[in-house]
Amino acid sequence: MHRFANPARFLRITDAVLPWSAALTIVLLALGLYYGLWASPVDYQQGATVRIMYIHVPAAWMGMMIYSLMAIASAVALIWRHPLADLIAKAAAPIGASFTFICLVSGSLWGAPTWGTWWVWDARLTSVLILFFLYLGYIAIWQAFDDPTRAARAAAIVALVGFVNIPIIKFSVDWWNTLHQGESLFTGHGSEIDPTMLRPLILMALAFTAYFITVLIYRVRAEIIARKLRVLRLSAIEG
Amino acid sequence: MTALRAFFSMGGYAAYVWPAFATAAVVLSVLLLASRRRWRANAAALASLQAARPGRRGTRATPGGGATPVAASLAGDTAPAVHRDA
Repeated sequence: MHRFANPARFLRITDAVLPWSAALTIVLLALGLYYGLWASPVDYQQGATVRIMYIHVPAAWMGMMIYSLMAIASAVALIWRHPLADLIAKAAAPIGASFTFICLVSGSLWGAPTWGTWWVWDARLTSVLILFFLYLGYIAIWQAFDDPTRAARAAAIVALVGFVNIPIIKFSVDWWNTLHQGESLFTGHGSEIDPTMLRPLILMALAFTAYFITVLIYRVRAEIIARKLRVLRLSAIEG
Repeated sequence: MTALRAFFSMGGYAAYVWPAFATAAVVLSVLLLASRRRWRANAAALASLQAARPGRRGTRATPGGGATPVAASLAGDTAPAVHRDA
């Protein structure tokens, strides 16, 4: 019964959260786009290309945050056999992969006019590309096993091993020479970004977070139902 | 009018700024719609499966009597969805 008690509580809580996270996504996205595309100044060096930052940087944060969440959920699943942790990690992976993809594409579109190149094989760009492939590998492992218990175990181990990449991404701009600019928000001595640019940046990051929560709820629910369906169909086959 | 044209031209960087925003819009929309569609499809399948086998938690008139309609609905998936948003 413990197997079903937890998902039941998850469904009850998310029933209450879902309308709020969906509404917040819309409101924050509208505000973020208004300030990001219209009511903020252009950069004195980069011109309007600075507006790409409002997509690129929050998408990068989401890619890393979602992977970290996946690694934590995988650890919880491996250690405590929590019946929902696996499903949360599995449901989060495509969302993280999408944000990482957006980060890579928008970064390329930002690099072309400002650096004069779409891509360089430096530490920051390469480690984010590896993050994208880690997501794809994780998703592929879930599909490679017929037995969901074994798939969950293998996927959780991959998620945990791949976690070493997250601090590498974070500190790559300090450890190696790169075209990519360094940290300018969490510097230890305060933000170096002008408040007029910080506002849309934070709004977009919050909008992406609300979006993540909304889509994660949809995906975890689909997984919970899929597991119930599997159990019901197996018991039907076995009589 | 000029303000609007300036907005869309993005100071000459329209070819970089708009594709970045468009990529995000397309990817996030597709993911949202696909996730919601799968949830609803699974919920409908579960509802039809439970409707086909009402004896699981309730009264069970004949032992194992529920197996046949479930097998039928599995084979054809023809059972109508009862509660789409269940």
